[in-house]
Amino acid sequence: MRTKLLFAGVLSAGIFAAGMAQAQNIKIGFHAPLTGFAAADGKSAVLGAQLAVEQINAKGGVNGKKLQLVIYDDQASPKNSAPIANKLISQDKVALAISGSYSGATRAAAGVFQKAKVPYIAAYAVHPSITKAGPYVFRTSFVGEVQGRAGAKLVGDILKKRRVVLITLKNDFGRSLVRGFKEKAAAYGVKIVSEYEYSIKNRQFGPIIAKVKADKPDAIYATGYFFTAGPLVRQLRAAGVKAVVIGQEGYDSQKFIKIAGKAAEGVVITTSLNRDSKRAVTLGFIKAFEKKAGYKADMVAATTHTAIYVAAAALKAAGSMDPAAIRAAIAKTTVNAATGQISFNSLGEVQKSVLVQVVRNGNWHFHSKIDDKMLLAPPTK
Amino acid sequence: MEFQFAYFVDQLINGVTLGSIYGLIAIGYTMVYGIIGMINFAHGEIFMIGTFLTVIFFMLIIGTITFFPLAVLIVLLMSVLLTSVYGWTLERVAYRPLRGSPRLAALITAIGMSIFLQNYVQLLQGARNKPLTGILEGKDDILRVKYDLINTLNAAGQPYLVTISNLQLLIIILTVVVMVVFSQIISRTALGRSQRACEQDRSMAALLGINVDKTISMTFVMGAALAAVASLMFMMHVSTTDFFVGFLIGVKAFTAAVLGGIGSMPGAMLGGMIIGLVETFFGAYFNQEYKDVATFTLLVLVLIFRPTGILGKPDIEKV
Repeated sequence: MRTKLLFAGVLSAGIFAAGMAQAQNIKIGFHAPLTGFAAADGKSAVLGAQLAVEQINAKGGVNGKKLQLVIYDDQASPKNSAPIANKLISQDKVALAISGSYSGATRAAAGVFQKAKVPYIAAYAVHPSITKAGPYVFRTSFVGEVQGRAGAKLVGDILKKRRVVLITLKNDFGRSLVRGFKEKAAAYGVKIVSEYEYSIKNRQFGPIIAKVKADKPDAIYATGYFFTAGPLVRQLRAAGVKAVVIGQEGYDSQKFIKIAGKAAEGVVITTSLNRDSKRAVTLGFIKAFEKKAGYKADMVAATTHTAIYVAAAALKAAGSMDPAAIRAAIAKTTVNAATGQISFNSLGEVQKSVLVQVVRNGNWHFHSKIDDKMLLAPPTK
Repeated sequence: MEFQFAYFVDQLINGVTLGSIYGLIAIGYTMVYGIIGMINFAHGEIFMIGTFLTVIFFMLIIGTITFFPLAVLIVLLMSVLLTSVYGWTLERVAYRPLRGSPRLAALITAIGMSIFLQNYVQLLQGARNKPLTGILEGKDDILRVKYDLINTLNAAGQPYLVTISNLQLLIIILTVVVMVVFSQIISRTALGRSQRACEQDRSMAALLGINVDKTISMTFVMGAALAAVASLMFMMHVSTTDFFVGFLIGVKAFTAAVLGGIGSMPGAMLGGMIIGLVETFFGAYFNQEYKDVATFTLLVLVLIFRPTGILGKPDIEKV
């Protein structure tokens, strides 16, 4: 009995000590799909965020305190992310939270964070409604429409292609990109010949490809993730379709090139990570990520890394744990991060330039940069 | 007119390749159902394991064996062997202890095994996609060699070329060969005889000295072997896999098995072909988005007018 009591005493002392140690840390909530169909992106997201936290802590943390990530698995599903948001707010009492997840999960969590008035940064979810949840919600990647508009400029103005076929991924990501693309297509002299949709589980594109063959376009604007786009591009080339393929940040992974093989050569994408960057913070990220993860950096990792840097800068500027002060600091911040110079507009949407990358000799390389402030102006309401 | 025909042929080739893969997997569902009256929902996951084994074996041997067709053959044999071991283990561990228990128990176990196998592969192999292309380093170029079938002009007067590649030929031929071999096994060998006997009446077969447990085990092994063949084709075609890949293809193949008449082997192959073709042609002439609606509408119609499926035998009421 006495030993039991003693044991319990030691145990609670241990917990108390741990609690003390934790009180020194600033907790940042984080949710990402660690299991389920999107787990590959979830892994990159977590590694990117962890890397950022390690780098910041190695330099002494924020205002003398260390950052600490509280990570949950949302399986990219809204039914998981909303309870996670509640848990992060009421149980873990995080200073702010970051979504390393897809649009569906992020939309559901955004409302919860806004209601509790806890600052929330969506790292790479593209759906426009996310930031509309309220002033406490921010986004460090482009809203889908903005990137779609950049895609239209890329096709019509930079690559000078006229007849375009759209192959659209049937989800928030694909649809919002295509909305932006269509909005600006005519302005850049791009004619949409036809449009096809596919589901995220699709890996065999034979029927669509035969149709594309019949359409004979100059370019193909295909939305998707590397695991759908890889097989798509490979099968397009195998069927003898030579039109240039334009992708987006969903392609932005070395895995895309591994899957598509030689077919990947010449594919052009709009994204946020420049492989040939001369900027120290981007270079540092690319090198450190490859060392930590054992594979090459991708957009997802870069943008979650960026989100943590934004959070750290805001926490430093706010100088307190008051959510309203942190929110105000995020809104005002200008951060030099892995994906560029980051600042936010009145809706909490990121303002930065679009980087165009192309596959050459089995690697992503710089193609061009789209800096048109008018074109890239994120929505303000 | 010429163009319309060329387009049709092009899509036909797509449909048959897709249908071959569905059909081979569907046989796994149908054989198990035929003998123990249970739907093995983990069969899609067996296929998924086959795709991973294909990648692993290619990685192991591609450096040493330079003659690509031989490498394919070796990978095929090895992955069939090991996938079969998974099929056997699945039955031994998860289904045999529950034999004789209510059907619902077996069904829940099957779904449980499906979830287990997905997470098992995710933990072991990681969540990231496993591409085959990088491993082969262009050694599979021979599969991409194309033969021109029809050379015509499209509506706008531009050239439209219909081709068939070595890969597509390989998929179709391999399916036919495997089908012939398996139907011979079922109709000519002692194992096939015991399988047919177990299908008709398990207790009677047992009374006549047939080792029912062994026969059922062998059925799982055969189903898994066919899934392994399909997974090799799939990997050659799609070139990437992940732990989630078995789900959709499993649902499609299961639908194919029901459509063809669950329990009937030619039915499963026919069902697979029909689903592959319907999906492709609906997408080709109507709307790509609603191809699954077309497939399942067809399934509903067939089940209304022929509840046992196209080639299924009506269940004899054993009172």
